[in-house]
Amino acid sequence: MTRGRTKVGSLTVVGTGYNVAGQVTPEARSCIEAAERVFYLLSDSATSGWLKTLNVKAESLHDCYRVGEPGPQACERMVERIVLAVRAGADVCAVFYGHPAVCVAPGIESVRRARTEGFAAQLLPAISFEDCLFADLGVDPGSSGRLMYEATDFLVRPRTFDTTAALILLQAGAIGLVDFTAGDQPNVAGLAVLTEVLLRHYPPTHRVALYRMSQLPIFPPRIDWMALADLPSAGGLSVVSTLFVPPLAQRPFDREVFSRLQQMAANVPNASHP
Amino acid sequence: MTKRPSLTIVGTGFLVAGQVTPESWSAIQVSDRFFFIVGEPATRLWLEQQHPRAESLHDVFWDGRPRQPAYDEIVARILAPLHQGLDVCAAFYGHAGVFVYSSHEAIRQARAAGFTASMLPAVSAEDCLFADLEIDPARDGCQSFEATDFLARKRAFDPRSGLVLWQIGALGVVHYYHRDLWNRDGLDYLVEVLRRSYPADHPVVVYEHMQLPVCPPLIQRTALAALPRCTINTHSTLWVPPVAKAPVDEAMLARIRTSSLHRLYAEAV
Repeated sequence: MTRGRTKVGSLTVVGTGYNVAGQVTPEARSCIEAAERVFYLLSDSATSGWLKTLNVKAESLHDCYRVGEPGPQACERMVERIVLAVRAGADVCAVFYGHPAVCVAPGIESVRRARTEGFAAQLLPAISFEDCLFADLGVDPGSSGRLMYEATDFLVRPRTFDTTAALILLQAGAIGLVDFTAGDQPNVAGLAVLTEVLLRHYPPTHRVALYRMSQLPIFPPRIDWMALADLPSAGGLSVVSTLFVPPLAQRPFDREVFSRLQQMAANVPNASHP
Repeated sequence: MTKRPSLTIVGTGFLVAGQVTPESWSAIQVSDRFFFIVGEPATRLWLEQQHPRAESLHDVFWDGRPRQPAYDEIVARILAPLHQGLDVCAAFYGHAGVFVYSSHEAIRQARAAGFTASMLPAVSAEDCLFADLEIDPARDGCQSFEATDFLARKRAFDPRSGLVLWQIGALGVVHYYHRDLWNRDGLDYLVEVLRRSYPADHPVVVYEHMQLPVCPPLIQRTALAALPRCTINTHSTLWVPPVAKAPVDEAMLARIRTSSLHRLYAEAV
């Protein structure tokens, strides 16, 4: 499965999606089955139990976390454990929840480190939390454009953004919670700060949704629609809740720009590149 | 009580059967009627073998036909068997809900008519881009637009977050053509607009995801100013990395720290 093999030992980083075994792609599954060493970071026992049926050698990375310690140290520990096995000459597969590049620091970092050291390394695409959101909320990110920010980052590093595009803010229930701490109580006060900032850009009646994807096949996703102004008092907030802010009314196409583009397209003589 | 007929919309990802999730594959198998609209021939062949009554919807498109009547025809054909009491599954390429009008519209109309309807998630073109270019879209934020829309609606954006522009090879095109539309003038104009926010030598990537298991993704790395010299087709996507990290709003950081400390305190007592 790996490209450009140079040294003995390789790394493939895959994701399992969110529905235990229901969303894993066949290519990711083959990698897990064929790997000599498998490391995983999954947050439910059904998925990790299933993973061990694919490859009995699967080892959890969960013990890389220490309570109260900042996330980057746990990440560094995971990367080193994964890359150490690659250095020892094994074909390694690292398995994460959802999509292994999205919000999973050790996924990309271990691939980069292994490749820098001369090993073949790659990430495979997987079902991300956004894929579930688009399907469950009936949102087409292509029709209005979409902006995605980690909620704390969105607040702490303010940026220019287009309110006529769909806005997705992940970890909206975990604002400011950077450490790995025991318990999973959401930060309700943080959500109030986020609401205050959004009210500078959207009317208080603008309908928004708190979304949590289904984690197990028998449970439906949790979707709570409400007016933006009511967001701070929303029930059902969790540390993994995503906030979906639909776009405001689309601006019309700028006539001059669009007719110019159409004219340019009409001038294209044929398919071939010169 | 009779069971209400249901509509399930699935996506096939991009690697023939290699990215089809088990839940989507089962949905195809258990349906009474199965429709698909997938341009890639190997995937089409594979899908035809997955259901005894697999029916391609590809004949709704022909050169020069406006898109909307084609989309409406897709919806009507998917919904028809529901009215005869049959369970329907329809498969689209990639993620069925991304850059697809007819899938969402079919679900809306099916629900309005009292049927059960749902969409299953699938691997999208953006998922492939994040994996192949090794980008975490949550790190600096990610702004994603269709390229013609980006230019014609004069979208506000921030160069300190990532920018993904889709269909840079079909700038200004509103009709369906079964050929590559390489609009050099349009690309020059796109570069002119981006140059107001990024330096000429800003590194950008023209990306085309894998279509078949044996073909690696096409990744062309270039300077922004040299973009019009890249090979670009209707599947090409432009990735523009952030120019710099946006500065921290210290007052906001302090407020957020306080709010999270309160939360930790509440948990302790």
